[in-house]
Amino acid sequence: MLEDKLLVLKCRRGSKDAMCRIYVKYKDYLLTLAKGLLSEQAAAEDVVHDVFVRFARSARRFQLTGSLRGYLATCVSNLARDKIRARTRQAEALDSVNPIIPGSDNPEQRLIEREELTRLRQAISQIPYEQREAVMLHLKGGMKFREIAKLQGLSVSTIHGRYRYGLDKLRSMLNSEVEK
Amino acid sequence: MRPADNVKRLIKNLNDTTSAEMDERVLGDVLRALAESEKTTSASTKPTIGRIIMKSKITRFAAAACVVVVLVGWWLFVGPEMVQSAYAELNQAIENSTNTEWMHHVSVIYHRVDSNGVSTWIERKKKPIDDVESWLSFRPSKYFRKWGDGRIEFIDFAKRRGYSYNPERKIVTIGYENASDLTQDFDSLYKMMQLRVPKGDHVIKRVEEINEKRLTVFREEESGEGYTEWFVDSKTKRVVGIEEVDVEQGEKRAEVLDYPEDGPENIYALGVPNNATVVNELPPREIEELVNKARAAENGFPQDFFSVECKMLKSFEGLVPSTRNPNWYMPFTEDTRLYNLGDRIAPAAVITIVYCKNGNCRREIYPVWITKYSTPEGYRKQLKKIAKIIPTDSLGALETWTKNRLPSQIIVSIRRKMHVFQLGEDGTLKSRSDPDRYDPRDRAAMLNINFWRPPNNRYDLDHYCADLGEKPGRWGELVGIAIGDEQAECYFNPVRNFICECVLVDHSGPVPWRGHRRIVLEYAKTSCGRWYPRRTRAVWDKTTYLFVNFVDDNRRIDQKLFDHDVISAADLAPFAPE
Repeated sequence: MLEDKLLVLKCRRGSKDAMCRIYVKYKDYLLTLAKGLLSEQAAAEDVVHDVFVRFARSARRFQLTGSLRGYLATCVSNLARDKIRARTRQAEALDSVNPIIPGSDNPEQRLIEREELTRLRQAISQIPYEQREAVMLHLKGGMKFREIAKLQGLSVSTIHGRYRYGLDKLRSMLNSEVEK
Repeated sequence: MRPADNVKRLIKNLNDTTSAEMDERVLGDVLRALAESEKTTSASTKPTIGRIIMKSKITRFAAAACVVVVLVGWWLFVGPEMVQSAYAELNQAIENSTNTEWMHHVSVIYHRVDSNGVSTWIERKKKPIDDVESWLSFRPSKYFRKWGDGRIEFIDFAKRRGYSYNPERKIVTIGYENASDLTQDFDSLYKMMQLRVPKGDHVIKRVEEINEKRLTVFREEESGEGYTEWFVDSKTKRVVGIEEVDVEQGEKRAEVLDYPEDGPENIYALGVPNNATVVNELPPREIEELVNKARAAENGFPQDFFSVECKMLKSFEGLVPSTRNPNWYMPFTEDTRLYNLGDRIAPAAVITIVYCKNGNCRREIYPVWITKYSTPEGYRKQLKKIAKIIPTDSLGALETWTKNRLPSQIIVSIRRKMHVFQLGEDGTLKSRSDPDRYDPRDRAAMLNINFWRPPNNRYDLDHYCADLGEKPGRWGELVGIAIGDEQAECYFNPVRNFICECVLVDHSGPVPWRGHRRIVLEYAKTSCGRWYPRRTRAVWDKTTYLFVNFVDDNRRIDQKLFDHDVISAADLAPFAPE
């Protein structure tokens, strides 16, 4: 958190190096989050692009009050919501890009895990956006329910409910695959 | 594993990486946007503190929290360093302000339009939240906040309890408040203050009469970006107003303070209806009892003791800790050497001698550096070599080792004041107030939370405890506590009254599984029969650290050790970047 504050301060002074560090630090995290919310690689990349460009434009005036990670996640969430609203179709075809699987050297295991994650992505894209947002922001974004509630102007219990419903739906969709 | 856990695990393991093309495209646009932003300026604003002092009844929470922390931070850290008379006078006023029973605070922030183009929840709800009033009690530490829209919060620091009232739903929620977050915020704000207010910055003093009150105004310029004015009552010599103006951003923040003899007793005293529904989010009784038991055990640790702590890097897996921030890991490359200030790559071990007596503390720090850049293999060899020369078997051996050397730093904490000594590059004695030098225990001590006892910074119970389980462990039956929103699991040994194994998951990194940290504690007894973690093994990002603690709570500690006036250059080792 402190490191982020220093990076933000350096950005305020126009440091390109600090801006690059922020980008490198959060790009994958934000892309994963955006892709989880939008289920589409190109749209997720656009959102991450827009978030960083807007952040850069305002960097000299930007004041970090909470965590930078939380702030950027909030930006991604807001832009993703705008994109969802703008879409004519709610659910779009999943990208053919394969997810990257951490920590597995066994090719067979990698294939299984890749398939598992592809199913998960499909399932995530099918749950209502509000629930998807709560699940992704909490589990992937590492945000607390209280923070998500603040972001959306809703009560903590509503967010908790959405999270639970979302998780239950995901579980039931993936039941046959994950309940081994 | 339960299906829900499996889904959670799968989601946490989702990881997309950006392509090189995307990086190039985004970074190009980002750097262009950054360069273009240089040309943008915004309108300046005008101070209105006098009007606010007379009329204002509204505040904003962020500014309220900020000013209190800033006030205390300013006084605690920057204050003693001030050399100019105006600074000294302002410093004294801030000290006077914090030596009161209660501080009542009202603040107004002039909303800036979110220039990031991303609408916030505040804007979406069309409900400004800048009406906030707060009361802070320094002793005991309590904090009340009341928003203009009816929301009310109360944090009881001593009980680590938070109460919040939602007026729309007429619900009072009671839960745990995380004190470690508070100290972290405190630390961050302090750091921000340090950067925002360079030492030796000019402070201009003038006297004004506002609303028939004679006020001394201290104005501190920020090199064209804006200024801060501190309004001090000439009679009471306390701060009664602060105004910050950010010219560049076109933002203005004003604070008004007064010091009542008494404050609200509880959340109901601020207008919460007695018939509001109470939602208790405190942990179940058995967990709370467990936590209380652990806390009582923690509090029972002797206040006066001598200890030796050794933190040693045991394995190297491609990342090295930054010399500027030991919690920041960097890939081991040629750039690392440049960043880490020359040939001192990283401290391979840090031995700290701690003397504590009557609430005062002195620490002597002996780092052992890896001094030459080499290949990762060469780095590992150096680590092994260093590990061999540092005796970690006994207190006596470590103490003898330090006696043959000079510390790179001596830190003396007397009540809430810090004195940090180190030699400068020119060989002269420097008394510093660099926040990087402060350990979380110091900051906690400044909030009147006593974390000086050596083992206690190894874990933190100030989290919401959500689950209870049991697991056979090397110390017998252990009780599991999931802490902090499923981000940590700790195993508590009911026999010895301490947590002895923790698995922490840090979500801050871009790659979640990198943040996994495992901490294993082994216990020893002091001469007074107290158990304490003698050996701690922590694995962070595949890098293993070993912490060894020896505590002697039966040793006579000379009061002279805390006399910071007698510390000279001869007591310290030559300058070393840390």
